[in-house]
Amino acid sequence: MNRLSRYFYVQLIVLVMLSTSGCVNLPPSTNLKSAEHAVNILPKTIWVDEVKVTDANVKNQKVIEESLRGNITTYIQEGGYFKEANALPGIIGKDDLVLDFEFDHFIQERHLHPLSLPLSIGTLGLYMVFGGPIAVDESNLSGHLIVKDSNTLVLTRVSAEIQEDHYVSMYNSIPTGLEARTSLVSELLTKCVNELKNNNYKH
Amino acid sequence: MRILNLLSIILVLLSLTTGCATFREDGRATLSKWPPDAPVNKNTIALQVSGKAIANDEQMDVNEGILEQWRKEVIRAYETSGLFSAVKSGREKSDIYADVKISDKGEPNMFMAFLTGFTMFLIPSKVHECLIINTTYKDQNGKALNSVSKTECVNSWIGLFVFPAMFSNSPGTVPKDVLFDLNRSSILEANSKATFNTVSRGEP
Repeated sequence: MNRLSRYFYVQLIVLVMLSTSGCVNLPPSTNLKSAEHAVNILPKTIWVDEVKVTDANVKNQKVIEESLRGNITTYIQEGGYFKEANALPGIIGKDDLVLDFEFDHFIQERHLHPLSLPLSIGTLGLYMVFGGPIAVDESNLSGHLIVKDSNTLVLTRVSAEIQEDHYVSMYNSIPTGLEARTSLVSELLTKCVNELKNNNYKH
Repeated sequence: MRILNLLSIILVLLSLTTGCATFREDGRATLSKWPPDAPVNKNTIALQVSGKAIANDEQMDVNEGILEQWRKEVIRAYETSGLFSAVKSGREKSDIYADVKISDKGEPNMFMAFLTGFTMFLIPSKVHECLIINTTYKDQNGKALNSVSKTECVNSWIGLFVFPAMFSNSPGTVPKDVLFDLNRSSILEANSKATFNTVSRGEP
């Protein structure tokens, strides 16, 4: 076996090992897209209190929760879901609402694309050079939003789940869960506003 | 044969000079005196650090590793200022709350990056990047005490002959130094406006 063919077989073994190793967890992130203006608005002042990430796969919970809290508060302010939005501390008015967020699934996974191995070998790498999908990034996120009144009485609890996946090529291999995270937060807020309006918590 | 050997040695030596180095632009934040004079009665401060990255006007993920690095530099600035009796995090009970928002705005040029790689680093490429820190200080009643914004830009070069500059201008350490300085500058500006003295300690 000459050196070139030995090299080819080593490459093949590595790719086969990759394809059978399943998937890898991607490091979590916290930033959100700029919010579009909310259609349904609740004329109330709200305070963002706790943002918890209970997903056991998130290693650095404190850092993620802290940053997520800041980004969610900005997102609510930009979207104009409520008359006024701030993060605690602050003086909670009698008619104000307090929001707690909890995320129990917050991890993205990367799987090898089933065609990437045979097509990369078959085309001697041209498949990758021309931007063929080499992996799939999958987000399965879920979260809950708990709304309390100024006396810490729970008014409502809404939940949402988002499943999103997108192809990854050689040219866009940086992981991103921006779309999925933003959709999840947006859905939680929309559901929360609708729920509160339907139950006449306006005043 | 001898020429080929010589050429390959030159190529190897040239490739060894390849590197990536980051340089701070002029107009960096001025630091009048560090640490500043400490007050007799010190307040506690709780920091909430959040961040985002924007490349060519498109948002990108900032993973937990980078967030942690950024947070460490923010905490280091507040701890070494000597102005606070304790530096806490997030929602912990405190006299002052600082909401620190970090934005990393970069303008990478994919075509130039490709050209650099394609020409074996003969043609260098540059990435322009600005770090922006917006800090809002609040008291324990949620009343805004002050708001400070600081920006500094850096340029990262990749190409031949850049390797020696990596020892003093490593892309791993320069942005951390910038972040530390921007936070120190924010603290000094807020302190000069008596932001940290205006808190009534012990009030609900």
